[in-house]
Amino acid sequence: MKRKFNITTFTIGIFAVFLLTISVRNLILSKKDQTCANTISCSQSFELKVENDAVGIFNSQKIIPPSVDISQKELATRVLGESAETGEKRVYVDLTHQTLSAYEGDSLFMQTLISSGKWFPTPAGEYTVWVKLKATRMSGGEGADYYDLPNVPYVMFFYNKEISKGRGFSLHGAYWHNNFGHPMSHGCVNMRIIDAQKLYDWIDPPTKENTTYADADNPGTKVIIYGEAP
Amino acid sequence: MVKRLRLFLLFLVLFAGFFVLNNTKSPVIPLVSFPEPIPTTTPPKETTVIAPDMKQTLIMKEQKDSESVRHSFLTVDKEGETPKQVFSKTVDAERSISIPFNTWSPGNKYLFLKEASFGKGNYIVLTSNGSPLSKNFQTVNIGDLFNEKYSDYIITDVTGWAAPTLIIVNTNNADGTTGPSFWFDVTTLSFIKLSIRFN
Repeated sequence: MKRKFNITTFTIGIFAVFLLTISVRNLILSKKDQTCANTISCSQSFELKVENDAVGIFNSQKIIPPSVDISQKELATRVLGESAETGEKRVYVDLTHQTLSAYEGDSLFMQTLISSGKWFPTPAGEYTVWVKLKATRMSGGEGADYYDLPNVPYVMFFYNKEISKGRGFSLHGAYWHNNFGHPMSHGCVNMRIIDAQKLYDWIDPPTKENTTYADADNPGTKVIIYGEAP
Repeated sequence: MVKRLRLFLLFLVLFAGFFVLNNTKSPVIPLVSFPEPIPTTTPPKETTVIAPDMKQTLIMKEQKDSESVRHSFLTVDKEGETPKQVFSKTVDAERSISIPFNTWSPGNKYLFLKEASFGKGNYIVLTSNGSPLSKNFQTVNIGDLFNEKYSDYIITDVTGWAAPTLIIVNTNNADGTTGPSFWFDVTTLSFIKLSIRFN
């Protein structure tokens, strides 16, 4: 017996397939949005790592990273007397103009050019610093965009409710390019080493060791990122 | 008697008048020789730019006269060492040479400077130790090299270093629309056209 073709059933079926396709697509995209800023090193970048004999790769070029001194004597020499101001510390990153401004109360502590995300956008929002590392290794990308960078100096990881700690966004020094004032990174906020050092020594939590975690007694400084990168 | 008295008085008046006149002459100004003004040169203006990793410093000295400006560039590794001159150029008063924010290459081996003339910029690349950039060139002018190869594009700006030997060059098309970005490789003196813009 021939089955009668039911147009209603057919239409509902097509609509269901359409909804399923959209759901699967959104699921895939949301997973992609959860990747680390450094897609290969990811959480390994959250640990202090000093490799003074390693060679880095960026834009298909080998690069010699700066040596990192993790002695306590070097730390003590730098941290003393960094700031005499009082007041709440805040860091503002202006993506539109590619600048960073750090304030203590109403007093401007420093202002400089930065490089935000080019290959992956630096997310705007209000964040808190959760850990500071004297140096770590960061790697990610693929093909011509592949990078592997030992001894990334003065790393300040930040997070909020939308961008978790595991995403690995940070402020840090960059020795592999000098194009500050223009987006260059894979999501992090790149700074000249001289600027990253100055910010690292000032930003909370106060530096105690080569790895310094924020906690209830020593909360991290707020980092406000706004605007739209060119 | 009266006559003699009158004569005496007249003589007295004349004498007194003569005496007064003598003393009201313009005072004699002693001759003072004023030395010829010695033309003084303005002390050279100095600009210092430390490398991003703090390991080297670039010093630019500008010596101006009425018609030209002499720019001298020196680099020094450590405080206390004698700076070494790596480049100098004299330009006429309408031009200027400046140090861009991103002048130092990663690793500090190279520098680039901006020479501005009547609103247009050109960019000079050199080594930080003064050695020749290549076999045939002490320094290289990016604009001159680029124009020889790419007549369809106009350089809008050179912003910095993408890598230790790659300078970022941004262009417009000849019709004024946004053109591609290039990397200028200072080791091969060649341009690499990119599929993405860098500014």
